[in-house]
Amino acid sequence: MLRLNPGWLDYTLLALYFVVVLGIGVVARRAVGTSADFLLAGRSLPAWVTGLAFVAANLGATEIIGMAANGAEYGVATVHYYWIGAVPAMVFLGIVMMPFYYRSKVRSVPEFLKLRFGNYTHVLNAIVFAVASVLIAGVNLYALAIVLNALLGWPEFLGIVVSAAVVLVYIGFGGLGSAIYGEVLQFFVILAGLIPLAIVAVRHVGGFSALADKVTASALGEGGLHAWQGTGIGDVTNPIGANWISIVLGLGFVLSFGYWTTNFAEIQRALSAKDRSASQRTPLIAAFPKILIPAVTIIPGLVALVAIPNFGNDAAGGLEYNDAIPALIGQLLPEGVLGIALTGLFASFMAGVAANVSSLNTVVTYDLLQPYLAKGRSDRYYLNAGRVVTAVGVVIAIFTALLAADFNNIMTYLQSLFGIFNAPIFATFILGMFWKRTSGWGGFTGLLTGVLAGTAVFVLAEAGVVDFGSGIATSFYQAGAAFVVDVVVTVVVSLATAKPEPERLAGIVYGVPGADGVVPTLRQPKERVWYRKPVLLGGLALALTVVLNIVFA
Amino acid sequence: MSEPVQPGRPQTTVETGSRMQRLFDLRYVIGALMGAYGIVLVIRGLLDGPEQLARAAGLSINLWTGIGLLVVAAIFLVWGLTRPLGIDVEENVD
Repeated sequence: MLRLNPGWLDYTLLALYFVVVLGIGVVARRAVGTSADFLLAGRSLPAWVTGLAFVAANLGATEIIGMAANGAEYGVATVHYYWIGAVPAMVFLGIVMMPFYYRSKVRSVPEFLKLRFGNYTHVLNAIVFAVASVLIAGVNLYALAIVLNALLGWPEFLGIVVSAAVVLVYIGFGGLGSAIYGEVLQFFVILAGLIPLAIVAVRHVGGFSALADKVTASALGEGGLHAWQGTGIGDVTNPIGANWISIVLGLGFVLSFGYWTTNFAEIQRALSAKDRSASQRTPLIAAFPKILIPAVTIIPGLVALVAIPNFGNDAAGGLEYNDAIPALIGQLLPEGVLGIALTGLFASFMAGVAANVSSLNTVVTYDLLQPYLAKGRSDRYYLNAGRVVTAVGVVIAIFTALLAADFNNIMTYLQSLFGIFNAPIFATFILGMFWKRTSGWGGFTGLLTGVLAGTAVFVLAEAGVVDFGSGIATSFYQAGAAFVVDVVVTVVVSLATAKPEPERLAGIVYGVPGADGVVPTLRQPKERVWYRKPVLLGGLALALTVVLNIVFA
Repeated sequence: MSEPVQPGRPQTTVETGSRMQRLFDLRYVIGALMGAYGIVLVIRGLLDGPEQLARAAGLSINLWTGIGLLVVAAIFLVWGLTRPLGIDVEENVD
């Protein structure tokens, strides 16, 4: 039923994209002479490139397919994932945290923990990150495989292996540089496919007001049109199934701040910017497309719900929620745009894998091999290691793709992972950056118990011991538990252990001067033109988000 | 103290653009790919008959998407031509 009928023209458009991306990889290979070229892209990219890569690294197919699925299942309230769950955290990263990251000259997020808390925290975070990266890369591969299987009839295994091979070639050749260039390109191709799809989809159901009427008459009901109505405490009628406190605190604060401000796959893009101001602007520039992307994910989700019979109703033999975008592509797009949309899906699948693989190889090489497992080798050794890790990571991701098959809604699965991995790390970073007293042991035990607490909530909910109402609510509570436990344990253990040595704090903690006499503060870089002022950009993004929240309340 | 002036860090981007950037300007790559897609879609759109229109809810979606892509391509190509790499040196003033 989902099977597409792409013509030769569609395949040509798809092939052209592959040629360009592989071409970038091959050309970029000439730019790779050292491990730093391969793993860090030389810290010299302009802010618009890193900014678009920042948003595109998160615009993997799991995001697109998963958010359209959420749109069909939960309605307009899915915007919380963007306007509450992403934009505030991106602005916070750009204005508050990025200066600390950039000034510390770390090559990765775990390396910051090494400077601040020492080796135990460093190794714990590096390993957790490496495992999470491989899992998420696997989720992306699996998502690609099911879509290829449904749309083109490719066997799932073939789809996984072919797309993994393409990613391996262009990252293996050009490293982070070609990953970032590929992501920027992917950003444009995805939008070139999704924008026409959303426009045609709305027209297909007779315009926006007809869409609203049909959603009200659907299983979602009136609540499906509102982001905030029906989220009262003790009286949740909104399909999202969570009250406003768990939305704001769980999704908005703990889950999204954890993801956007500490996930190295994202931070790595900002770290490769050419100066501090550009690194700060990276997430701020990314915030603007992020604010508007729900238009091209949630709208197709809603249209699929009302226009496709039995959509999301497994029992009646209907399509799954995750089929929203693929089904509409097949039903509505003619040859030509169909090829662009198909290319956009491919591009986002591959970029999702590429972002994880290109951060994985940096962490394994610089955070596990160089400081611990293979110290003091030549740079050539680490460059080759980076390439080998890339290959091994892709192979492991192929196997984890099979793991993802057990979960109905891919996005909920990802949120579960983020809840376990990211929420406690955020707490550890904030305490580490702004509270001088946070000790090495405090940071380590807090992070460890936070991860364990998140895992415990996840396991209890999966086992049915506790019930939070919906999968989304479960991930909110799980993130919240991880965060609170991390903060409490970090503070208690820090106060009970010796103060950290001053050299652990120099130049990376608020108000503690570095060896160069520079005191880290939140003073913003002076820029002459308005569109380069971080605070102004961040303020604009937040203001736009507030307005949209009111409009869609 | 003006903090971001870090010792040993060059303050202009003229000499320090990454090898990646000196190899090729991404703006031309975006412009070329979007332009190629745009041309193909505009031609396909002009040839579209009732069958294609009916599929896309009566909208000449190939033509419009093609035009949109050509506009994006033009923006990037003009930007690349008017502000070539290496000019952008005033950024590091803090």
